[in-house]
Amino acid sequence: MLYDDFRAMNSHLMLGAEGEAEQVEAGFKAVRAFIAASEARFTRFSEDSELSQLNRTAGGWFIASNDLFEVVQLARRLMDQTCGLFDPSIMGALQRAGYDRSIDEIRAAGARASAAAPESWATERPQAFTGVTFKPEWHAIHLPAGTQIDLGGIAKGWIAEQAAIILGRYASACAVSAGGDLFVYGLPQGDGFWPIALEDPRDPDKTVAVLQVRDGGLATSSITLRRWVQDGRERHHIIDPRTGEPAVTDWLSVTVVAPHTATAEAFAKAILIAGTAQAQALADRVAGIEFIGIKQDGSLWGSRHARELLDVTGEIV
Amino acid sequence: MKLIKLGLRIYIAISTVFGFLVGWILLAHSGKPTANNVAAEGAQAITSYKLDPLPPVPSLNDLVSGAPLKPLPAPQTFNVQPSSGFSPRFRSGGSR
Repeated sequence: MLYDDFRAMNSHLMLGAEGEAEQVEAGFKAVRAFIAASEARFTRFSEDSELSQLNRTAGGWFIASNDLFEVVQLARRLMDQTCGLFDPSIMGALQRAGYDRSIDEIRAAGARASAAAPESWATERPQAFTGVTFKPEWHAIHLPAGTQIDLGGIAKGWIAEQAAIILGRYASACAVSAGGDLFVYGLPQGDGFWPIALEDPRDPDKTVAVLQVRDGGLATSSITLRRWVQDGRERHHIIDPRTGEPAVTDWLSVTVVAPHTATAEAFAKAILIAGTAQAQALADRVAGIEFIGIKQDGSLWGSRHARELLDVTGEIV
Repeated sequence: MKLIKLGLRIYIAISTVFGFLVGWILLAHSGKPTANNVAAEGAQAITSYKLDPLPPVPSLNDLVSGAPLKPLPAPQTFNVQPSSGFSPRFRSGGSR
């Protein structure tokens, strides 16, 4: 197995691939180029990105690239599947909570003070992403006036999956991780699964369990890692679309395994926001979704078939 | 023969001038782009199409009220000891 790791999309990227060394190295190079181009397209932190251009055109039509069109359509579908708990149009709330620059910049310079909140989150909501319309023949997207979207998490998941498909052309089996959003393609020689360490949200250097993942995607959402202080209050980046504030939840982190990484990412976020009581109901809305979550008290919980994901070499009590 | 050549020349000359004038008039009376980007140009044409409405997003009310969407089995709880000395290269724990 050959590995390549680097930093992109404000995350640690790791590629792993099995195959002939020269071919795999060429695959790594192709993936790096794809990720650099995709980051430039999907970032909300650059005025020049295609996503920023789309946001500036809200209220009118925007002719999008294949990639942006696909991801925005995917986001709309995932919003529906998660009962709106995944919502890319919470960008205003994220910015008010202090997440108005990359996390690296916030950590270096601190969060800005909270901007004046709108009179009511409810009045801001009608402008949200539910009103997006598409014209597939033109690859055209129409965001309702005033709507700004952030594709951060699902774009990262989608990029990881596409990158794995590219790398798969150069290798017999491969995996791509974008900050813990993974897509695995094929199986390592002699193994029936990819072992993935599930980090302890209270101490990410520790592993709480090892998951066995076959073809497909995996993503984790956590409220413990991307945190900052704003106006003396601890804030995190998982916004509850129902309140417009960082989510209050009884989970610390939720990991989802799904056929696609973007689906895993959206459902990890939605299940985290929904809390333990609604977790299984949300997971049941789409076939092939299993979750494992760590509650505030440190206990490990999972969906109906989550036990099958746990490494059997671990002791299950 | 000379007469035919002359006739053809006159015909071509008149057709060219006439075609140019018709094109000029058509362009002068056509709609003007209203914005300075491709997206807006596309919008002019697209808005004449009927849009397919998207299905509404399911209501959050059930989740907000705390009522489950359907009867739920309680999530399982696990006690797991990862095998010692084994640390996979790939890890997942959320965005850092």
